[in-house]
Amino acid sequence: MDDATSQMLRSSVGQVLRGDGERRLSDRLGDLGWDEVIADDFQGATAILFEEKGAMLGGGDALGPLLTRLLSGPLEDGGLGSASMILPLALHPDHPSTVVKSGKLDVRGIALSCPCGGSSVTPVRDDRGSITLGRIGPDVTWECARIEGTDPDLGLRRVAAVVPAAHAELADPTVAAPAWNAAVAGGRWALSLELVAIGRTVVRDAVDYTSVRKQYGRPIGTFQALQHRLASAYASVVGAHRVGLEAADTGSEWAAVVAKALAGRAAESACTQAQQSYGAVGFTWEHRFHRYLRRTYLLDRLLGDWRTLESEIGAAVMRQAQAPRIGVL
Amino acid sequence: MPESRLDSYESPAAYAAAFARFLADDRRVARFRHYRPPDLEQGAAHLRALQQVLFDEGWSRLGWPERCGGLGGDPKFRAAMFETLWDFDIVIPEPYSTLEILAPVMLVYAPHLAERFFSALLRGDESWAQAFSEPDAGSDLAALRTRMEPDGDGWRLTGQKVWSSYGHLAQRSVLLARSGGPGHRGLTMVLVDLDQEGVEVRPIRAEDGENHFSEIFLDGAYLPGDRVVGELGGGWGVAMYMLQWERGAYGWLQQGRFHNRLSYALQQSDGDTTVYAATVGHAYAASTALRLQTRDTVRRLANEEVLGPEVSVDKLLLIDAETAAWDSIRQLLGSGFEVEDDLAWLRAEFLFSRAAPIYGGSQEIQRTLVAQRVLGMPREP
Repeated sequence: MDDATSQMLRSSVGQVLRGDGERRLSDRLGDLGWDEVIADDFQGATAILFEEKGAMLGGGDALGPLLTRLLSGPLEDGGLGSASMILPLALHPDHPSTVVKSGKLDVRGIALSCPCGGSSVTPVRDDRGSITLGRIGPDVTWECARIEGTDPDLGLRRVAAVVPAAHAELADPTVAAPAWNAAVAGGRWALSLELVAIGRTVVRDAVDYTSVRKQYGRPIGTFQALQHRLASAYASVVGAHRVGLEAADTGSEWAAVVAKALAGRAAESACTQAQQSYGAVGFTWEHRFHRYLRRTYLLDRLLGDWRTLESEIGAAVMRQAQAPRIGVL
Repeated sequence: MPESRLDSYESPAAYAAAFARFLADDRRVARFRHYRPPDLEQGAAHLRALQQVLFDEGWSRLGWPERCGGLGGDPKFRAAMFETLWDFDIVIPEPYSTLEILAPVMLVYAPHLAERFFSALLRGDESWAQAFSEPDAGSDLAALRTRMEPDGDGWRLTGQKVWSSYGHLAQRSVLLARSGGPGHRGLTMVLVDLDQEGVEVRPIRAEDGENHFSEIFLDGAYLPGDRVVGELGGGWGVAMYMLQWERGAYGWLQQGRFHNRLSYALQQSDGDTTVYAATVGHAYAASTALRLQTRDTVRRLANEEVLGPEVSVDKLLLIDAETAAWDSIRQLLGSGFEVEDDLAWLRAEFLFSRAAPIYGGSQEIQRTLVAQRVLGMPREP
């Protein structure tokens, strides 16, 4: 999309994110004609949604609808788009906590939105040990508890149910596993852009604060120690952004892992350096900084935290015995 | 390569594919593959022959303007050439990186000198060195004192330069001197011949045992009047223009090295995945961030955009990647890294990597630039 369209979309998405928090984010985006927007430019629109959500600390679930949308095609399930996404308890996509037990689906996980009364989808470890996807119908009684957790605003839920075969459908693992990996890649680059937006925002806010806060008769932002902290964090954020955009453009699963690792690390570093710049006031409940910090920690966990991902990346290149280059000239 | 084939390369990728076929087939190239220089001087001499082949066949001339001896075309062809050389495990001749930094400046600020000398540089018939730093002017470059005084139609240079990379192998030097009063307004960029009376170049042995840089002593060295680069007194602006190439295009070159050397270490390693994975993963991710950031910079430079202070971000990412990549390479090779004598070449590269936060503008200078000029933090009172 061109710059003008992108600016318009940014501002509309901003309004949606500021809007009524009681309604589902996906419903509010629906008012905007999100399906058409996505059909027009999936990568561009998704990037804008996650970047704005990061910068504004927008509540609600953007990741679930993205994952179910990406799964709909390969699973040939048009109704999947409105399903609730249930992630493994570890929040890592490769370690499902839902298993098949005595012909029933023993579902345990963390739902990105409330599954009650609607259908849901979750990765499953089947009885052969393969990863597949389980589609769960609406007529299920859920144990469903809202999670306060690190970031209560995200509205996560801890869910559990033992679902009889009649209400659950397991996809063919040979289709489901690659579909899940591709969807995870989409989720990872989107989250990386959200984390990057948080990183940029906290650095910018800290720059603003240190430019006016005075000690020893001068703005503390004139001190090199603080300048270097924020500059260093900013550079990491820019680097992560580049890789996030590459992963979005190419859809490469490998690039998406690297993007998510870099973004998680960069956003955490940005928060650490910003917090130090704020001094004591940054530790108050009243200051909004802790909300960025909480959001960063939680988003970092979703689909794999940066430390885990860095280890996985390292193990993968060691297995291949080469360091493949991401991105063509 | 006949010049008429030039327009058959529509993209850097098409060029890279054709260049790869050349490297695979041409017998003259074989001796440069997997070449490990025994020392810096022999390496430079050996690779000069590669420069000749690549120039005579036209490969290295693509992406440089025709008016200075290039064959024209997208400057990204140059970036593609470096990438393809690494694919064949061919080390990039040092003069190519010097050219990436110096040539764009000459093309803009001294086209007459670019036209006169460029071909010889690109072919390896001569080499140039940058001479900015002085014993009392490192990070504080504007404090430099090398004097430039009028003498007939030309000038005389007197002073001392230091940390001039590959200075002892160079015939000429792009040098920053003081033609006027104090501060950055009194500086002028010049191109001075090193093989003349009144110039003494002494190599400095670096911690890896190699003569990476030199001191240059100038005692009334002659500078012809047409050797001023840019305006008299405009040296600071020329230096700043140069830095965007030094911080951007150079980073692209280096990420190729990190990927290559990391792959080498991964092939050699029998290290425990569980122990080294995190270190290796971090190094790989950092190198990728550098690669994609500098790819964008290379693209913008190819579009003739003038980059601002944002390019210091490239250098900061280069420092992170260079440090992390070499730390992980050393880890992967275990005790062999310290005790295997046939790894001397790799140890030398490792030891030189410790200069990453220092060369080309220190990490502290880059952070200050990003803080003040990109983020807009207030300057010190």
